[in-house]
Amino acid sequence: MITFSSVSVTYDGADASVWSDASFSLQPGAFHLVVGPTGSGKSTLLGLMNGHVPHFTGGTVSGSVEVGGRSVATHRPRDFADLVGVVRQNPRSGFVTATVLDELVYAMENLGFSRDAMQGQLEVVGRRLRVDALLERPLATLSGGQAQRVAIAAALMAGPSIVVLDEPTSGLDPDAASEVLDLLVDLVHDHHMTVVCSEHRVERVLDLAASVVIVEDGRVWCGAPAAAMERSSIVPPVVEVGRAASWTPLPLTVAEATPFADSLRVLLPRAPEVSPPTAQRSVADLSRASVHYGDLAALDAVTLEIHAGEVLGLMGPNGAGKSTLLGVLSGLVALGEGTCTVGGADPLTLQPADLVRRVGLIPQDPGLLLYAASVGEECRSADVDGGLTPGTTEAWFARFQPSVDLLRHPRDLSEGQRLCLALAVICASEPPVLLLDEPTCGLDNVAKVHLAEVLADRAAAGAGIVVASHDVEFIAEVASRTVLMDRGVVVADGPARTVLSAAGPHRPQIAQLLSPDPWLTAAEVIAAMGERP
Amino acid sequence: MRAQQRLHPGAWWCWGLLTAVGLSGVTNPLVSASVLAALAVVVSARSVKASSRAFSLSLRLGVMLLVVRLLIAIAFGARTGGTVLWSLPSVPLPSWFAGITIGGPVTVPLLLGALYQGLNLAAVLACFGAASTLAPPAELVAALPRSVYELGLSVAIALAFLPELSESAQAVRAARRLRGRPTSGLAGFRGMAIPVLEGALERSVAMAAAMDARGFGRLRRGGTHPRVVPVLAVVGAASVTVGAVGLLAGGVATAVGAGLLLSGVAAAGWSLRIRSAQLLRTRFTEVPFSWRASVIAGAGACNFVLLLALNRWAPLLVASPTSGGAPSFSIATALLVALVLAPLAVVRGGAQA
Repeated sequence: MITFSSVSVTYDGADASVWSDASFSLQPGAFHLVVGPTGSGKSTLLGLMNGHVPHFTGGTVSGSVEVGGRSVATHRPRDFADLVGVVRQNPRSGFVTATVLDELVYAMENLGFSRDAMQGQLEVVGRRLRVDALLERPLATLSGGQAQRVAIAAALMAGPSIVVLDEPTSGLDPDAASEVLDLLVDLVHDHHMTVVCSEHRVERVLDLAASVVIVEDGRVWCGAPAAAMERSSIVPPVVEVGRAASWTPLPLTVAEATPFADSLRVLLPRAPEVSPPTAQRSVADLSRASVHYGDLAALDAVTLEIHAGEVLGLMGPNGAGKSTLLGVLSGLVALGEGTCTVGGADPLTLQPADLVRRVGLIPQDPGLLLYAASVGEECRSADVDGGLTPGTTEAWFARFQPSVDLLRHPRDLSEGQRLCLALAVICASEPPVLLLDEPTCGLDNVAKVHLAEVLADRAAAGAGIVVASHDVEFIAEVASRTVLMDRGVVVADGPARTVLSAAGPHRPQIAQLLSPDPWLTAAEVIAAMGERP
Repeated sequence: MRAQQRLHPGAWWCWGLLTAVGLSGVTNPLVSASVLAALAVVVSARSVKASSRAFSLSLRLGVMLLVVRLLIAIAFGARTGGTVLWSLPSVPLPSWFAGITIGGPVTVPLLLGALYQGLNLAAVLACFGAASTLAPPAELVAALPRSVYELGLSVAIALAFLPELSESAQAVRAARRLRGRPTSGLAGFRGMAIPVLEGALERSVAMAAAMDARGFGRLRRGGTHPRVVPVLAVVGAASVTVGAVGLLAGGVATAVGAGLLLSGVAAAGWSLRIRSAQLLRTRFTEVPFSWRASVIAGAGACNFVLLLALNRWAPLLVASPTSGGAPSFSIATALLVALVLAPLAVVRGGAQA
């Protein structure tokens, strides 16, 4: 269905190819997973599948790419519109109209479908993707999960047999993500579509994949999932433990690993202890804080204290009020009722220059924090803003992304690299309160480990850190305390180990495998295995 | 059902654009101010709160223009007589710089003249803002006949820039605050302008990529454009322009101007007809140009004709502070306001999503 023969891609003005000599072919009617570290060229690989690369992006492609018998060299994206549906990482950036109905019929209109044919597709695809109830809604009012479902439906309307998705679940909460993934499974199993999907959180999709394409270090490798997990640098926690314990055959999912669980328990010397919270200095305080948007209570009388030296994992479904909470703490959102104090002052009343020394927020789109024309300039201007020794921000950035050229434009960085730059800009002022909104979207494991280390380091230096995230594995990795929110109220607050191992179907993989012992991460299990005499 | 509820977006654009064109050059401040007020009434009655950003942005831009116009008048305005408010040191210029002065006495008529012109600019701008709030450009393009669709799209991407710009500005403002940088004043504006433009531009590029991926501009199998199409289009556009300018400026006989205008429209229409036969595009929801839409568009047309006629025969509309007398509110102005408000008579407020 999709055949790459000795393909290399070089963008204009770049010294080296993104990756080279890719040869593989993907069979029809199956799910194919694309994995690779941040910035390795996964989006380039996906973009080739409908001619977006090179027709839209520019650059030179050598070798040949054939999709459904059409050569990318001679077909433009619009010529693939009836064959390949494309869903981007941020569904909203792909919307071209104002309402759901207009968006859904858009491709069919361009391809000259009759009105009856459109009506038929709307009913069939609309029902299959559960967007039929949303038809009259303006796109701007959709939730993240709804927007992603509409984007997928819009890509499917013109009846393509291939759908290409670039990290479709990265902005979604676990429930919405599994809903989207279930839809993809249906497309493959019941409708024999070919699905090509990139995903950083491999654990979500590994069991669906017929093959895995690994894009890493300028090379592209394609093979069966089990063989891929032996060599990939990005693997789910159970595979990490399985590799460390040399389990054969290597289990890919929690279910496959369960037979090994007892032998693993024997290897572990003790169950981890839940350390009781120690009394600490508070760095930020919310007291009966409420924020209302119209009738909707985004925050409903929330009382919360953030302590020096803790990493607080803030979890909950989309719309639970996590972003609003961070907005209040960083002085972007005004409270309706209640009080908020950060470092002894109400953040809303602080001057920008004063605010930045007390609280740092990395927004969901970290690119918003960046203005300069190059990475180096961005770092220098952050030094000036914070009154820091020249070179401070650059040093922080080098810790996250050691190999990025300082002359590159921030907009040309990958999502993950951009986050690292924004993080460096904020961390450079060493604010005592550090807030991160969904920091792991688009981050690979290596970058996540770096991020976890930096957060631990900042916490050890006395900062109070709040990480709002859907990524339960990352929260398990970094958080000392976890707060669960739902519909504007706090529903659970306690040590991360206690809260996370009781978090139901969305528990970390290791918690699922070794329950009831409150282990959370592959790293701590592997370390404990080593301690055994 | 749905098609009946929907109002053809072209109606609002006819209404806004025709009023704007008629209004240009009308310096009677009472006319400008009352049209501004009437526009605000229609926008606030019709639009959902979240979508009215384009209008408020156009108002803010209008105020900026007004201030700039005043500053330019104070610095460089032609010095006329009248009550002197204060005096700026004047810079003597060589005689061949006739008509241009720098500095000098700042008089009441000088300020008033600039104020009137600035108000007019603001009112014209607000007409555009109101139209793009009431009928988002994307909707307008979707409703265009498929032959002008591609043409309309480039306009729409340009127009979509305005609302994108204001959204982008809010995000950048928040981010600047987070980085501890000023969000107001000259320094704030300078630091924000580039990222705001970049953000809006980036969004436009992403939109273009998405449209491409979904088959935008696909032709029928084997379809090509005959060579006559661009020739007809250029000739048509040229004669429309010459005809319209001739009519408005009064440089040519009315019959010649009208003839050029009509033949130009015909040529352009013909080229679009040939072109549309090549495109694949169909429409799911045909939004008919209902009688309601006709009333709204008609109100715009009446405004245009009224202003044009008054401009020629009743110079009352042109208020000049030097010619003496306060600007007056005439029956014509009242009629104008009524016409701007006319759409509210045929559509219920806030009915359209």
